[in-house]
Amino acid sequence: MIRFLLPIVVFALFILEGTWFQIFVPPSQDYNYILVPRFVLIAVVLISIFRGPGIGVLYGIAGGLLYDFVYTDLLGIYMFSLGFTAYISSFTYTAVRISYMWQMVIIIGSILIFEWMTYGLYYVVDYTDILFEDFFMVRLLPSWILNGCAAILLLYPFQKLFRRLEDYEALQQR
Amino acid sequence: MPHFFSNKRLIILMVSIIVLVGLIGFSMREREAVTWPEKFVRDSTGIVQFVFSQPAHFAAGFFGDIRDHLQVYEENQLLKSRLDEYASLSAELESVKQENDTLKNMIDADESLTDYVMRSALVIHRSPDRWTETIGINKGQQDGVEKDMAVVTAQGLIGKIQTTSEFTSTVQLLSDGNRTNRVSAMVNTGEAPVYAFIEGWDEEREGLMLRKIESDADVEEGQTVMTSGLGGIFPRGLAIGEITEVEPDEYGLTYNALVEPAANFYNIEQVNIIERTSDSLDGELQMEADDGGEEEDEEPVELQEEDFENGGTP
Repeated sequence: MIRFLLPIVVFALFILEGTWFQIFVPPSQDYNYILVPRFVLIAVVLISIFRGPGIGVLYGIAGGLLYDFVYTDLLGIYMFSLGFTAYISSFTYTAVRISYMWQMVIIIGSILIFEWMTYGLYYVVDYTDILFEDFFMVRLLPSWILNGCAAILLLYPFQKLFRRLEDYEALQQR
Repeated sequence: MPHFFSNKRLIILMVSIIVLVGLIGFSMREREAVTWPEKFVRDSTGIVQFVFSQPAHFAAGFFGDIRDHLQVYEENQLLKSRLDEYASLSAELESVKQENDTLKNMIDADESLTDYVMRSALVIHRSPDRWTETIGINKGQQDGVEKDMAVVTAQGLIGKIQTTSEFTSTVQLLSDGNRTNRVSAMVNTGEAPVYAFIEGWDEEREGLMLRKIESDADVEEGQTVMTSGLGGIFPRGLAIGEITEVEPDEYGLTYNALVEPAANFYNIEQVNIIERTSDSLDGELQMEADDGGEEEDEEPVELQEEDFENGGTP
C-alpha cells in the first residue's frame, strides 16, 4: 500500500495547486503580484534528492505532462521544465539528505530555474511579453516566498515518508 | 553533480529538446479539438477536482457568508432605496415585453439573436500559473457544450469555451491575453447601437479594451457594452461592462475605449454556458450585420471568419 502513497501525495498536491489554492487564495487585481503555487515542483525536487535522479525525472515528466494536459493548451513546456529541474536538482549526497538547510537551498534554486525556464519558454512562444524585471518582481519573488513557506511545511512529512519507503524496500529485499 | 555532462546525458538532453519543440509546434497551431489522451486525462482529473472542489467551495462560501453578515445593515439600507425604482422598472419591462411580442407577431419573426438556452456548471479548477487566464468547468461534450459558446456569471459575460472533453471543458476568460480572444460587442448609445470589438485586457489600466469604434460614433463614458450577436455564436445582449475611458487610437481613424467588466473574473464559483438557438441573422438585423461587417472583413479572425460564411451573406 505504501508504494502507492508517493504518487497519490504528488497527485493530491497537483489538485491542491489548481483547485483548493485557487478557491481559498483567489487571485485579485488589488495587489500587484502573482502567487503561483509550485507544490508539485517541491515534491519532485525532494523525490529526486531522496530517490535518485531516475525516479525524480520520471515523476517530473509525469507531473509536468499532467500539468500540460489539464491546465494549459500548450504541450511540452511543463513536461520539459519539470523533468529538467528534477534532473539538475538531484543532489543525492548523504550530507544533503540529512540537512534541512541544504534541501531548502536546493528547493529555492530549483524554483528559480523552473520559473525562469517556463517564463523563457512562454516568452519564446509569444504567450507573454512582460520584461524580466517585471517577471522578477511580480512572479519570482512572491513565488520564492510562497513556495519557500510551503517547502518548510512539506520537508518533514516528506522525509518521514521517504524513510518509511526505504524501510519497506529493505524489508522486501530480505 | 559528477554525472551531469557525460555524452549519453547530452544526447538524452538533445532528444528531449527536440521532443519539446515538436510538442510545442504540434499544440501551437489552431487545433479543432484536443487529442484523446488529453481528453482522457482531463476527464479523469476533472472527476477528482470536482470531488475536491465541493467542500472547498462550501468552506470558502462559509467564510464569505460571515463577511456578508457584517455588511447586512448597510446593504439593506441601499436595497430599500432601490426597491421603489425596481417596482416601476418591472412594470415598464412587462409592458415593453408585451409590446415587443405584438410587434414580433406583426412581422412574423419567431426567433431572434437574443434567444438562448442556458446550462449551469461548477468551476473545478483555475489555471494556477496565470500565464493564461482559463478556468475549468464540470460540463463537457456529453452535456452538449461546444467550442466557442459564451460563458456568463450572474453579472455578465466572462469568456468563451476554449476546449471541451467529454465531461469537462476549459473556459478562456475575457482577461486572457491571447490575440485570438475577441468578442464582437455593441455600445448602447441611446440611438442606433455602435459595433466594435472587445480585444483583450489592458494590464496597466485594468480593463477590457474595446477597439475599432467608428470615429463618428457617439460613444461616451458610462455607456453599457453588450455582446452584439454578430459573431455568430454568442447571443445578442449579454452584458459585458461599462465604458470608463474613450480615446482615439494610434492612427486617429477609430476610437478605443476602456471597459470596466460587469462580471468579476476572480473568485468564480458557478457559471452558465449559453447556447444560442437561432442559427441565422434575419431581416433588419442582417442589414446591420452587413454594415458592421465591413471592417471585420478586413481583418478576419478565425472565429468571425467561419461565422460570416454561414451567417453574414444574404
